[in-house]
Amino acid sequence: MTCEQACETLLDELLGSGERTASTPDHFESCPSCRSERRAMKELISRVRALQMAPPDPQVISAMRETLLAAARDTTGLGIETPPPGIHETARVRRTPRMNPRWTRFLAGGAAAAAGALITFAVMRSSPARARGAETTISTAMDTRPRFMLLLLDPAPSGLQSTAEEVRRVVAVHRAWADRLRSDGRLVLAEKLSDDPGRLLGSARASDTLAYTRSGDRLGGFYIIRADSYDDAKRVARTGPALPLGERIEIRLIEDN
Amino acid sequence: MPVVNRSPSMPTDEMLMGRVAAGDADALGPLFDRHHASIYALCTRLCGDDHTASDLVQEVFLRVLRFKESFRGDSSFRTWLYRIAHNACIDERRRVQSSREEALIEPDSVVAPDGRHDTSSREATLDAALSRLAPDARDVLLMACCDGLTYRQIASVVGATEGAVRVRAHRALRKLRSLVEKLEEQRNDV
Repeated sequence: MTCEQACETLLDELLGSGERTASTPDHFESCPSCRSERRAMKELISRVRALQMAPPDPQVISAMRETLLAAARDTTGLGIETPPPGIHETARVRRTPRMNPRWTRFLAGGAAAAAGALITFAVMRSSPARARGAETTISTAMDTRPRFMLLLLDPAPSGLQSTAEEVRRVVAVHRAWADRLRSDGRLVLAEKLSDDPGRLLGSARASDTLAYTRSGDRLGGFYIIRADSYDDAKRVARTGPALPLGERIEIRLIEDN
Repeated sequence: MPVVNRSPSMPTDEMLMGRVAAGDADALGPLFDRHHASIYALCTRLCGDDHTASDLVQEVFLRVLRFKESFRGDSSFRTWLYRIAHNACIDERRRVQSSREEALIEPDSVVAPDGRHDTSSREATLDAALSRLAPDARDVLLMACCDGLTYRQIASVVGATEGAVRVRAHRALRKLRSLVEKLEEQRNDV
């Protein structure tokens, strides 16, 4: 076995995919140069394996599990779209998950957008939980943590209808999340914006603002929450139903005087 | 591939995935419990950011749901899941790259491609060297080194031949060694 062959075999062994050949140990015993190479490569791989990584936040993982299972229950009933097979089939999917057409059009709005995800806010406003929220709002006013606005961006409207059952499901998950935010003392305010087209003033560049993004997403509502930092606000936002439901969230710090 | 001891009565990943595909939402729970940590670790390594990795774990399992019917058992569930995670990481890197281009951020020759540039410690030096590898080479190397995947499994994950993966892994490891040596020399010179 030559040095080159021995080194190739060595790398296979170290990377866990090779089989040790009988002649390999003999070669390393008789070749100081290859022994040195082996030592260096072993050390390097040990260093790579030992690279420290922060463990995932257990609370985030727990909330994520809960949200996923809720999404699984909903989407199982709705029959999620299946793409054609292929190695890069998932590459077509943007980070914002695309649910099945019925789910998407429900979230996308259109004539039935009143039955969209953001109807949740209207429901929250009229629900008993809303009254409890008013108390929380008072208590959060004493909170000195920064306030963050979570702007919910719905995908571009498709004009398709959604069913009352779909509405009920989304309302339920949003309400549950809002209640959790309240009980955590984080919720300051949550409001739904009207589903009408609104009014746009100013130059054409205004279409690039938050309300109407370049991608055609539509600003449908917002939460204002208390959080320690952007990372904290992101962590909270990730525990909510918006991302699994196909919405995007823009997080902005509210500047305090 | 690490061996996981399970009791005979415990369903395999493939059985659970079959149940998910058949509409049993609760079967997703054990799959998430078994694999979220390794997917989180993979995404952290491939994207270099633990917050992004958390987002990606959710994204990966949402894709499992979305593509549940495309799992046909040709490969193990774990390999299939890694393929989804790898694709999610590629999408994320494209998104970040695209954001940088939109924001007209000029590349900085000193700063590593992923923004990490502290080479003051040994670990940071290694981190910086890794970030200087070509993404496809780094992905293969890290999957071979840290995730215990065989060349064949990595080939299935990244969509290449087994031979190509082997060559890529060897080259990446050699390149990494050379980069680490160079960066450590630079550090010692300062």
